[in-house]
Amino acid sequence: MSEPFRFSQSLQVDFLNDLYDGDWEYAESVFENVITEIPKLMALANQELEMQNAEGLRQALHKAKPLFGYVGLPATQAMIQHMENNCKTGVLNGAMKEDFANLKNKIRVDSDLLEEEFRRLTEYNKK
Amino acid sequence: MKISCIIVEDLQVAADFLLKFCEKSGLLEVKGHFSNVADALVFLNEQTIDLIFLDVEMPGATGFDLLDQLVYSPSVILTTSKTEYAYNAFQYNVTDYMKKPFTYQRFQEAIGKVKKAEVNTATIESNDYIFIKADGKLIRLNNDDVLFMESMGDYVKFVTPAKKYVTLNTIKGLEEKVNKSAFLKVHRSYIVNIHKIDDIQDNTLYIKGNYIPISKAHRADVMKKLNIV
Repeated sequence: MSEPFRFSQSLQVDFLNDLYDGDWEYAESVFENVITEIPKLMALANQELEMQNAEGLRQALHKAKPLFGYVGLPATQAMIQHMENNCKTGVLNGAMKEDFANLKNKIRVDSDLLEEEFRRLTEYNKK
Repeated sequence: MKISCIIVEDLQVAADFLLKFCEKSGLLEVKGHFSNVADALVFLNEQTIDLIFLDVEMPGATGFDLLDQLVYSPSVILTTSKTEYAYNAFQYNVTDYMKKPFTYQRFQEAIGKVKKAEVNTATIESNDYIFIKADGKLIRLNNDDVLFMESMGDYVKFVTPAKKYVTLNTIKGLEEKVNKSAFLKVHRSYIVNIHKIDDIQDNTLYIKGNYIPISKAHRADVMKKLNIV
């Protein structure tokens, strides 16, 4: 029996192991999907922010949020949840814009991590 | 026999996980996947299914909007990434509430609840009477004698044409125990005997001189149960 895939310690390893339960090919396809979807949803969120549409921003963030869960990034989910809650005030003030900038920076770091994890999964599944 | 279900979910990754889990369980037959409420309703108006996996926030309308418009009551498992809908979930009497993402083990727990509810319903359907604890004894009430049940906090009042009985119980607890072919919850505080309804006007029904409110969450169930010609 081959050695199981080991997720990066930067991700929520125990949850990911439970979620994928040894189906590493499925994990690969989900990571690929998430890597593709996140930029689209963040672009939409950015657009809504520029249009000062708090509800539109909240909806875009709400849709993006669970994606980070499927790849073991609960801290990013929590950041998004915080922003979602603030969007409910209907006001997109300076603090919100700062939060969004911080979120984008976090997601930039996450994306590098996810790309690397996807590469490792692809390599593992080829063996 | 497999549980027939549909998935109403606009996030493809989440829908794919549900499809995978349904297939893995061997207990469910997925009849369709819909990414919005309108398409799901078209399907649900044509076919009857046992279970809906239902996201809450979707483009155009919410999962609760779908439940408001359904003309029958399949089991519902809400799938959402927010915990704040828990109160609504309780109000709509959903079977379970899963926060995305969830594992296969959590999925199995939810399906277990659906199966348990089905078994309870099947057992209860055959009862044409209930025993209540009142006045220091167990009293048998035939279903046909009960007009309705009304919540009084931790107590429930059973109203019959001849007498009213107060028991230590809750409407939620009773909902699971009464014969569903005779009784229907129409409001969080009321279960009525379907066969005793005299008339209905807007969101109020009338039983032998008693006006009983119908909540928005239960209106579709009530209309479905009535023999409207």
